[in-house]
Amino acid sequence: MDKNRTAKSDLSDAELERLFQASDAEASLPSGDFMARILADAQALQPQPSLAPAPVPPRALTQSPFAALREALGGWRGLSGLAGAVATGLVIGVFPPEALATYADGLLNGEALFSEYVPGLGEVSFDG
Amino acid sequence: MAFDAMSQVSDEALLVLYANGDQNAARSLTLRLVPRIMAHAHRMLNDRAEAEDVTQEALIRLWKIAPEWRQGEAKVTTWLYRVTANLCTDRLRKVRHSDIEDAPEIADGAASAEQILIAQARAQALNGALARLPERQRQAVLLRHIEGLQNPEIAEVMDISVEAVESLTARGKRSLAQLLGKRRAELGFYDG
Repeated sequence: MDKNRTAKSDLSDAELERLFQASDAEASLPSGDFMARILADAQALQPQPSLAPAPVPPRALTQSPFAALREALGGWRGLSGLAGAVATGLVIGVFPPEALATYADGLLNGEALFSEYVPGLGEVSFDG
Repeated sequence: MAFDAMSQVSDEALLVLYANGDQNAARSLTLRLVPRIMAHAHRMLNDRAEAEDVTQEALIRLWKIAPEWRQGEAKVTTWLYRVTANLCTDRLRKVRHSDIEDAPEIADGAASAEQILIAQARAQALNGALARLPERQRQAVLLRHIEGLQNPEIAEVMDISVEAVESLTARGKRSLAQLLGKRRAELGFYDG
């Protein structure tokens, strides 16, 4: 006698189990249309493979030529560095320092030694 | 990867493949999961159209969470049963105000008993009786005795203790035994 059975007419565990098995066999199967709908959802929501080219930022399509040049040179930081270098070159060109003029003359005449302008360099051995 | 090679791949690995854009993984997961979830939702709601809606919504949530899925934290089926259970509960609450007596009657097979197989009659009778159980008992009995989940997994799905699962399934089975015992002859059980 099944211990869970409280009345003679109640089903036993074994009888209930047969009903569970019957229910499993008769499970409502999804229709083909329904399965297709689920698969369409899956495909619509599926992330695309990462091999796809990265999307072009909209900003790049609308920026001015100056902005494009600025970006190419590394932004405002790169642009300010470039401007500083240009200004320094201009000053040196207009007002050349005396030492630089002497060194340039030496180079042109083949007489200047680099060690003259770098204190202590002559004492360094390069023999390895 | 060839579709027939997917049979050895776990649900969790398939979900990662899906998130990486593998279309075979989407198809394989659909074929693998939808029949189980659909059957469970149908038994919970006793309404095919509602069960389809719940199944579709549960799967949409799965597809959406796929890119964030972290392997090893949960089983896909456990997660899906849990989402399905919550969706079913929401729908059942909307109709809870109706009298319990409005629940579908156990199929009266008097007119068609000779036309249908005994297995179909039993399945219909069981579904009718399940519909009369309190929702949590019904869910626990379905997960344990029809879906075949183990008690710890059911506890995770239902967010209760294993002891509570055991209590719910025991009470549910006792109620089913009483309800269906009244129709034992009709169900082919003559030696009560």
